[in-house]
Amino acid sequence: MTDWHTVLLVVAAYLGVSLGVGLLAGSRSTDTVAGYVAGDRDFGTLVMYFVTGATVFSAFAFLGGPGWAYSRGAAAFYILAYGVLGIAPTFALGPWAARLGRKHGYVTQASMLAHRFQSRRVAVVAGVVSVIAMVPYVALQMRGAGILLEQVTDGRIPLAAGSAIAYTVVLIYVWRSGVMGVGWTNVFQGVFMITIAWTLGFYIPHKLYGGIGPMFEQLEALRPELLTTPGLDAAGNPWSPGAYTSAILVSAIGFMMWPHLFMKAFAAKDDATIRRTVVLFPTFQLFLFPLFVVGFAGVMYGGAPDNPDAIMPHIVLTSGLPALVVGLFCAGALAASMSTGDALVHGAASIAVEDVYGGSRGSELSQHDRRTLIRWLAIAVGIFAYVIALWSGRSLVGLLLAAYGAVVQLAPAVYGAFLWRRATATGAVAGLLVGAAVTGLLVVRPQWRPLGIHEGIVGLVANLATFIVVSLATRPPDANHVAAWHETCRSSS
Amino acid sequence: MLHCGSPSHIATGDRVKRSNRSAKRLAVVLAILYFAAMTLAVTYPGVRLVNTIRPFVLGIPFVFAWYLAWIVGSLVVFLILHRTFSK
Repeated sequence: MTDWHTVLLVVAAYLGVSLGVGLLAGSRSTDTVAGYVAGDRDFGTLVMYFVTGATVFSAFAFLGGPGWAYSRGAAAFYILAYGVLGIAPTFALGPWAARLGRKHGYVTQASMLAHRFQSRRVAVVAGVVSVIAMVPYVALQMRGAGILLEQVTDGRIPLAAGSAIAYTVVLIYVWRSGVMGVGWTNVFQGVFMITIAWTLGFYIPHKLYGGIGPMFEQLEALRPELLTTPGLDAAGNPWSPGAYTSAILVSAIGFMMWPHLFMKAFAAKDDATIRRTVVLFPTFQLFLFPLFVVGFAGVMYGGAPDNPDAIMPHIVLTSGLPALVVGLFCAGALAASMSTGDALVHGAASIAVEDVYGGSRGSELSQHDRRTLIRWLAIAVGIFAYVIALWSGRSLVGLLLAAYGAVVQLAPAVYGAFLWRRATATGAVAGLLVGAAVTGLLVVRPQWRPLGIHEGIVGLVANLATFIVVSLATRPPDANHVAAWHETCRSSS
Repeated sequence: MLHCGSPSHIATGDRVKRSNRSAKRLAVVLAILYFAAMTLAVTYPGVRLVNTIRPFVLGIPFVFAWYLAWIVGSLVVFLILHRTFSK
């Protein structure tokens, strides 16, 4: 039996366990939208912790994190900086959203906004922006899974087949179990990816350079420019402090605006569960450290791959590790991809039905029919993303950056809903559209960005200004409704 | 307990509630200050002040350790917040 057989056996075992956990998880939830999308609002701390961590850290972090440290050095530290800054507001916002969700029955972020602003238009616009942003993100996760399987099997499983295998497993457990499948598989996948990252992060520098300290000493002598901020840009020139800083800010502000993350607040059992999830998040975030260490280890390692994102698989495959370990690594990277992809597919389908369809047509469908519709849409999102993944190639990362810029544009409406009683529906919609348009324009014409500042930040400034001016210029919202809404937020449960 | 059932017990309860509320407010202010300081410390121009390789901290270049330390610090701040809010 050749080595790649062992690798494949481990991967198959991992996929089998994921599928089993995902299918079993669904047996407890009710046949309702709240059951399928928000797990009957009964997630405990264990599931919430791993859902948050494993969803945030995708194949992009698991393979791209080492790739950035390897090719761009300290530029990668921006990823370290934004996570806890991004999640901190959730300590307050999460319980507020959850209380409103329990009282009014929301399962998505856009339906919460629609109710606060008393406008279905808000749900439709926010829903459409969300779904457009999420699809390329799913496609990127699929590509990650496909590239990985292609690499470890020496091309015996081509990209198209690898993506299809991993995401068929995802679609089966999302179909059967909804958010319960996403939640419990993320527990398993999260444990897996953390364990693999920390083990390899200490083992690889120890094996190649005699430890982390000696590795950094050699690196300091050879490539000191990699070890101080802001590191390098993609072409290998020094990165600009403005771009570095705005990458941190846009990511921190956009962090919880990702609808598939935000809506997990509606799945939590109680306020204390959400708070504990936030408290524990930094422990998950620290797993970027070993991943970066592996990337730095790659700098002085021979036979560099063309694509920096392949540095971690390259080292793992060529440094004489046992096939079992290679298999476990491969499964860990697949776990990172699938644990993000499943939440995205499930979230995008839920939003498309609850907000875009429900917002434009009204919700005359029964709970059961809506749940069935979400299931079919999850399959449709999966197939659509798969087509994009196969056809778009490298431009996908650019597409994702644009998507990130678009998602950040939800921030003024979300924060405005909670903090500004004078905010109006027209203001929120106008801000969102202007912000998305400015961001989109700067993605197409990057040379118009001032000081290399991230297009999402420029869009956000335009968005915020429009939101405030238009809100003040339009009729104030019904004061009683807004007061009651805020009352629910602040009431402790 | 000496106070049980006596009118002074109710007064003590009120005082506990009020001191709880001010403890929460203090914890929130501390957290906001911490994350504001962190934002300045990890972005430009703030990070310029600590942007060196030496001295190593536990074998890790200084500015790398700086970023890790802010994450560990946030864990402590979150724990304080959580303790105050779960009372």
